[in-house]
Amino acid sequence: MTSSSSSGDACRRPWLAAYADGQLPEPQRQRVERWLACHPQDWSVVEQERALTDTIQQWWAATAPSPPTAAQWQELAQRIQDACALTHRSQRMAQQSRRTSVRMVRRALIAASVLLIISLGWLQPWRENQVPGPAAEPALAQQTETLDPAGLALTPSATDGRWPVRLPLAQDNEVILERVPHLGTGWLPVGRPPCDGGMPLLRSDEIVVVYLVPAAPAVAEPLPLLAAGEEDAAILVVPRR
Amino acid sequence: MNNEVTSQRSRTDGSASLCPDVPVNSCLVSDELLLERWEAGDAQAFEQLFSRHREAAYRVAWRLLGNEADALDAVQEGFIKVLTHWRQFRGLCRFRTWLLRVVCHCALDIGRNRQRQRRQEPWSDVAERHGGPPAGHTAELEVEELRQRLNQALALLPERQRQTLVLYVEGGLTYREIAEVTGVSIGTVMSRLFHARQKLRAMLALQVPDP
Repeated sequence: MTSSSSSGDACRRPWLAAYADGQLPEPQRQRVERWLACHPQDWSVVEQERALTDTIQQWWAATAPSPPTAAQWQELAQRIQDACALTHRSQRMAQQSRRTSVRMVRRALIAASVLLIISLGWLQPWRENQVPGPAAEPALAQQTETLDPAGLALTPSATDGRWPVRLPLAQDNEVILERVPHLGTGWLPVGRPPCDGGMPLLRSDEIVVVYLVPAAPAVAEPLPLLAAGEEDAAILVVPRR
Repeated sequence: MNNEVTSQRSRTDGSASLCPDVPVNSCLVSDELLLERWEAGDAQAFEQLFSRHREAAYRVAWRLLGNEADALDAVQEGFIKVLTHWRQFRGLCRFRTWLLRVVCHCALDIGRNRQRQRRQEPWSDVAERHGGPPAGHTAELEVEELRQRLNQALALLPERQRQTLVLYVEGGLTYREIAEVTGVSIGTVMSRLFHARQKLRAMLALQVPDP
């Protein structure tokens, strides 16, 4: 609180009004009382403010609205309860859907993690092949084996008595079989000169089997000729056992 | 001159003073307990809570809006907001304080919307709605005129001053409580209240009796 200039007066009056209301916290109340002890003429301001508050209160009381009827209150209470029930229901539903979403996200993450782990495990051999680390399995040396016709175990078809066709197609001395690392017992047929390179793998319906008729009964039955669809495809003649 | 200044009203935190329009024994249960019970499905707890605070909420809303229908809307909206979010305020202040603040906000919102609507509607409709004082006894007419003057004066106050004045005079909140719910200092509440009362005195040409 300041001295009694006009601005000081403007600052002082709200304090005095609050003091008249009895609403000041203890330290401020004591300050105002000290001020009033030194400036007793300001008690009139306090009384004016109190009288103004009383007048407003009287006006306020005189013009108080008539309360709603019991039926209106009842209706209002019902509307509030209905609205709250609706809100609670929608909140619960929102919570449930949030929980479901969280569950789905969690499951998706687990599935993604599993897939990632599986993929990493699957790629591991390739990676080991590409960049052999210190602990990686040493690359398999090329293995060359001569095709053993006996190992093919061919038998004529029970329906038409024809020989099934085995791939790859080439003369048995023109093909080498290389084991493909990490493919179990798999083989990669590679042609020898003049049929260098990987042997094409054909389906049986892409092959024409030509059965040769022996020139004389004394002559041993000739081997069937197998012709692939493409002219330059290698042909493997499989000797009969 | 009387040097003993006493409080104009008795403001305590006791529950008995909060609910003058319901039986005393029903006030023994705290608002928070009633809220807990209501949430657990006790419909009577809601009834008790509602009847404990509805009058004050209605009066505050009515002072800010000036008519029954809008005031009831504000009370409804305020109760719904408070009841559906009461866990967020728990412990911050009394239920009644928070409720009155929310009702106050709802009333101010409704008032703003109505004002916007009235600006758009034709004058004939406005005149029809405010078609003069109701017929009746002279005393009733005087009260009605007084009410209209007060409502008009209140409507001319800046929104914050109006809110502070209504919360203090009608809501019966203390300076501290108003400061808490409006998020300002007690000094600001003091200032707003002082200026609101001075403006009201000037607008209504109140004859304040000499002390």
